[in-house]
Amino acid sequence: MKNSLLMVYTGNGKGKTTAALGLMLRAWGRDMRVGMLQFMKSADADYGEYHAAKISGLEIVPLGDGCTWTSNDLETSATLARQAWQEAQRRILSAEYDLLVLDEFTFPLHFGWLDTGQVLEWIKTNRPANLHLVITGRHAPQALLEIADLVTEVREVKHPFQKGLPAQAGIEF
Amino acid sequence: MRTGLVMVNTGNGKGKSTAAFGALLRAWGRGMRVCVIQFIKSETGKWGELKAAQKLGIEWHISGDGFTWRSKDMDESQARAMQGWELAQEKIIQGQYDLIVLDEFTYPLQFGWVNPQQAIDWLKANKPADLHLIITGRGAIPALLEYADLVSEMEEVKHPYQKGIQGQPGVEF
Repeated sequence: MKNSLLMVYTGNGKGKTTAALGLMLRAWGRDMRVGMLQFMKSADADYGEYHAAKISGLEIVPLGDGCTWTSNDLETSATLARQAWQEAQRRILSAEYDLLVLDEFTFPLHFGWLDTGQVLEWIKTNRPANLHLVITGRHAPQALLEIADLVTEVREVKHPFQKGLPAQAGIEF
Repeated sequence: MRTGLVMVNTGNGKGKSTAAFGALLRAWGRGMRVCVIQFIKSETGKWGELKAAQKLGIEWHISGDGFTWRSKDMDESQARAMQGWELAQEKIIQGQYDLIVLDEFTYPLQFGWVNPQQAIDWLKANKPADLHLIITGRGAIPALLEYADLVSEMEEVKHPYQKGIQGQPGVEF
């Protein structure tokens, strides 16, 4: 029996989703079955990881509607988050993965679209013992950090936006 | 004209190399020309990363590999680092890459295996303006942080329980 981990990448710096992508790729390199469910990014967005996923066969599933702070309809975001969580639950239970990333899953918890207590109780009870689960995003609730095996906080020390440089394709997205 | 960014992933937490590798995947997915030079042969071997890179056809060098030591008065680590830095300079100046990762390059700089000020001056003078560069590793020296456009610090939150209860100022959970 593998000693699988619940890992959290949080904090306000760059590199949370990217680290999860790197973990996925590493596991995929070892022929593990990997997947990423994205809670905020929408299917019609243009992200480098989608191109990479298409070419390599890595599974990355966008389930959100884009950035919520630009969304006009927060109730739609909440509904999507609940549907995405159902999808995540299905996949967690499916035994089809060795490593699953719930990308930006902290947001639905932080915003209260999902009940944090219920979600964490469900994860504690149902996460298969051999499934590595990675959760990324800012504002990870304290209760999530408590049940996680590994927590990394990514701090922004310096950001090019401060210098007025725009986001770069292939790097930031 | 794209602005090539100098990015540093440092700190004592997990995710520095992993995030660089995720960024690499993202860039590769956009058809960018990418390359990795790994400066420290880690005990875990980065076997998964290497396998994934091979599967994807990503160029990956381990510094010092295939190098014969002629000098007896030089530490092997230093010799490897110097050889890696020479290779890095060659790749950087070629202008044939969009993204180069210098994995764990902070150590040669920190330990003085490669003269840090000379290395940074060389980068300032020679890095093509449109080349993205990612440098990873603990203990990034101040001159490197000063030179970088983007710095992320991966902080290992070992005892999220206690830390949270103590409510570390400025820490965003």
